[in-house]
Amino acid sequence: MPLRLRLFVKKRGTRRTSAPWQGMLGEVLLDVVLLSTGASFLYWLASRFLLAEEVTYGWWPWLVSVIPLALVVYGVVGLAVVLWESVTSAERRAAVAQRATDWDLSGVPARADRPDLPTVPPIDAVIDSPGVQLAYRLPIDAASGWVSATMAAVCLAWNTLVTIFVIQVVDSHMIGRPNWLLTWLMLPFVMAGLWTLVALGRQLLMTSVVGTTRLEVSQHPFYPGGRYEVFVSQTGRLQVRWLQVQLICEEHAVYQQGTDTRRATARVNREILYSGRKFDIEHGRGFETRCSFTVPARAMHSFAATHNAVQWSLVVRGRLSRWGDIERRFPVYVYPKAG
Amino acid sequence: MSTPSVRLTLDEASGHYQPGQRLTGRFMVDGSKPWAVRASELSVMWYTAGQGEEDFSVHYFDRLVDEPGLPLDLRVPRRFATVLPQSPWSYDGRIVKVCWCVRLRLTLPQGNDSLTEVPFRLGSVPAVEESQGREESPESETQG
Repeated sequence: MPLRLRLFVKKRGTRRTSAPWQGMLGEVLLDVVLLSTGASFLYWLASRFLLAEEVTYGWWPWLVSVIPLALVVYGVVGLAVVLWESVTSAERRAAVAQRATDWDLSGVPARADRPDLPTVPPIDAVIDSPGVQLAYRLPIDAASGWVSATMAAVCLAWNTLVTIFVIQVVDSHMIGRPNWLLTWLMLPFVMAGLWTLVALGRQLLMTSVVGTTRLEVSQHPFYPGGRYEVFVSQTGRLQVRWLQVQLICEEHAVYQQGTDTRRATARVNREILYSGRKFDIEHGRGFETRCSFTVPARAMHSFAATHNAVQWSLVVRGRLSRWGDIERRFPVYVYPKAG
Repeated sequence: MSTPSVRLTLDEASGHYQPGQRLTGRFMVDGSKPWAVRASELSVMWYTAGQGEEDFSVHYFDRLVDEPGLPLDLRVPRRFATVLPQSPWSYDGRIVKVCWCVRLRLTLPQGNDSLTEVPFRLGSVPAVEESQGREESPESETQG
């Protein structure tokens, strides 16, 4: 295949547009350019300002010298990394990194209460809140809060921009010189702005109307084959068409497709712990239920690596008469049985 | 270009191990004359396969180097042993797989490497079936 320089071609799929050595060469060239630019700039700065004997320039040349110094450091570190990667195998680098992370930091006490479980996430974040009915109250997955925050940010940014243009359009009409092309072009943007407002309002209303979902468990972490109790409480004034509490296990994979980073999810386990249909939740009298479940005896433990993960969650899902579907997730951890 | 014929074996013939169990094995290079090898690296490691980018970690690493006073003759069988960790367990999921293996990398004088791998399983998690975890709404279940 002929060698072609394709700087502006978007790479798709997993194929490479060049050989690995070309990438390494490019990296070396970039680091050399950065290093030489930084060194030249630093030399010029030193000879012209920092070490000038006849005139004093104060503190600013010293401040400016941070820029070439950063270039020099970036170039040197980059070259060292390329050199290290080219003379060592991936396993040796991983072993060195592993040894470095195994070092005890002085003054930091070792966690005696947690067994040594590589790639199994610690449960500290989910057992710091005691429950009322059972031992632990589980924190809700932060993703649902982020939805409202992201929607609010998008709504604010979009409508601010649209408002600026709308003011200009209205002004042109007021002074008798209407710009009809801009007026008609603004219509879809205004409609989209109104849609973001309605969606945000609905999201905020739903968050406040549906109320709090509280979930407590008798023990944490879970172990394969273990039997546990769960307590669920849902407040609000709702007409429930169906409501379920599920124990789910999902695989998550992050991968590069060309220049894009993508995320894939596959559900590999789903146990229904509670299922109820057609009932009302009265204001001031929340819905409460208690059930027990067994984690599958040969289930995979929670696993978290940089690009791959196996995550367990307790999920409260349902359909409400006026508000549509709800889903609230509570991450839980399944630890491997000690060998 | 010829590569050395490597024999890498585990003592446990089934290749099935439990967390905390001791893994032992040996490796050697066949031949009547010693192969010129700059270094050998034996790793007991796990890596991920499937849809995501590869993650991997080395649990045990042993590097032998050919030195002027101490030539590296790999015709002599070398034994290795390590106690396996409590996690991660071998896993054959739908888009995430965790694979354990013993990998022997020989660095040859020409600069190229020879790789030999022996997979094994840690733990006893069965492979995920295609139908596992499928979603159905309770309403669609009742409507049939």
